[in-house]
Amino acid sequence: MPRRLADELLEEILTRLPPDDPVSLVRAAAVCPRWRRVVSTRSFRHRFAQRHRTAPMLGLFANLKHWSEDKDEDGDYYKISSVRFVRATRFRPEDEDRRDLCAFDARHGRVLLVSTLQDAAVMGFEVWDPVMNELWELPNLARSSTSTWNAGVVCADDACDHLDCRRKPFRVVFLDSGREKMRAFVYSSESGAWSGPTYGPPAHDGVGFACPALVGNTLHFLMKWTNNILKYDVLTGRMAMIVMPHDVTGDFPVLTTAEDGGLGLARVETRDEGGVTVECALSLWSMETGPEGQVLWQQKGMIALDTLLNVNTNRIRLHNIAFAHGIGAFFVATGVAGTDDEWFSIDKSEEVRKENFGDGSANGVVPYTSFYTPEFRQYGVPPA
Amino acid sequence: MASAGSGDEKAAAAAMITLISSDNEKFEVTEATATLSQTIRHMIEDGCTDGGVPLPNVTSKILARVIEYCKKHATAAAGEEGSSSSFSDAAFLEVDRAFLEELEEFDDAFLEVDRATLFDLILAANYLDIKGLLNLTCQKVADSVKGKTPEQIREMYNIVNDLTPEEEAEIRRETQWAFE
Repeated sequence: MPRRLADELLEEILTRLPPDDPVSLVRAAAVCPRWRRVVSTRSFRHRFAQRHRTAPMLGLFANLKHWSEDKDEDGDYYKISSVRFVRATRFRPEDEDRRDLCAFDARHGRVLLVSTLQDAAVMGFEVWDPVMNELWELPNLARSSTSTWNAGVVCADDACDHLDCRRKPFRVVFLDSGREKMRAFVYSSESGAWSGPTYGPPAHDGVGFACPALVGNTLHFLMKWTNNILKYDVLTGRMAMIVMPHDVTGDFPVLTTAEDGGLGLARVETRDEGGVTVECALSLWSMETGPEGQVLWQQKGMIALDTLLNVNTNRIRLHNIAFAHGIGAFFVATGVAGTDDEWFSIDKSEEVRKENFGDGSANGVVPYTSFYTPEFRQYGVPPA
Repeated sequence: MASAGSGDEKAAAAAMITLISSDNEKFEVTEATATLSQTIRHMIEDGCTDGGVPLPNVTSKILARVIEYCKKHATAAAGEEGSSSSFSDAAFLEVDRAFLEELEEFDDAFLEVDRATLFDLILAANYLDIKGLLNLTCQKVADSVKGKTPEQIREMYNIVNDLTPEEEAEIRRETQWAFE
């Protein structure tokens, strides 16, 4: 590029490279020292994210089970849990497979991993940024072994637009159904410690495992038996329950967010004929505020899973449907007992794609959406 | 202020501005065309366009191309504003789509220039602050870089590789996946 195009214009050009093609950006950075410097700055990262707004899905974390190669003390093969980063672009982190961990949530460039080795009364968490390859091991957290729980990770800056916040402090919110009331513990990366608990509504509902959804500064957790939604205000720590109307609750719900950021929900709807399920669809709902401030749920559409995936309804694994916020795609598994499940993504325009996770059987996925911009070392220049 | 050449235009729309290129060539354009440039819009607002607007950073060759772009896009903008009431919705959409298609074809043809001209257009679009033109030209360069290897990009744009072999190896090591 002729020198007469100043850095500012080179930035103007390179921020127009597509975010779902990180290879182009890395290769541009390898052209010469000036290009390397331009794409590695904070200003570039910021403008790249501002221009494209919606972070691409770089991949997803598949929670896998596979059988061990060797036998244990009793002479049996044993099951190993691991979490695998499955690429959606060419980007791949340094470690694609991590053993004895399970992904629970991912947001703002980080994934929340839970140790599968701890006993039932102790929680072991890790937070990982696969792009920066930064790992935080959180101190263990004691919990009641009979409670139900879920957890989410969020950027700690409440005024952030979350377009480029992977370097900012984060929080992990751990919610469990205490003896009488819902309890929340919060880990802050700044203090490196857990605080809490704070107490919320009565713990009639169990906490469900569906990924929490963030709207503004509020994390929404789906409850297990009632499908009520617990709102946790990350700013104040206050909790409140959104009680779900009967016509909206249903089987195997997933929390979603709309393009405008509003909260939504997808639930599985089936129709039986003579004891056989003949139809299986995802029913999509969005939460709106009525004229008097009341919560209203509006049905927004249906995704006919059986016809889209072209499978028998009884093959659809209804219990582990995942949603990628921002890009608005669903992930659904199909299979029968005794075989590894097959996974499909269904994007916003109902385009279906078969996913390939490699060996092992995935019993859940957590989509990972984030901007990727390279950050190469600058010689003789302090990092931006 | 110079008077309008064509009598059928309204007086307000026909206000003419004189642009003066670096090689002293004068271009008469309508205010609607000129104000696609934020830089010139501000000069008009400040009332400092009498006697022409000198543009010492833009040659007549490039200025002619920039004006061509602005004329086309100013017409399109005026068409969109003016056509709302006289057509039914369907007809309006039809006209709208035809406009957009024509504009897209114009943009594609407009970008069929050599690299040096493309860079001159970027510089002019930046200096004159014409958002649409800057977007169009920068995207064209970005598209040409997309999917290329560093070697191909260097060759395309005559860039000397002054990364040391160690630096280059470091980049490839850190982001191996981008070079597989």
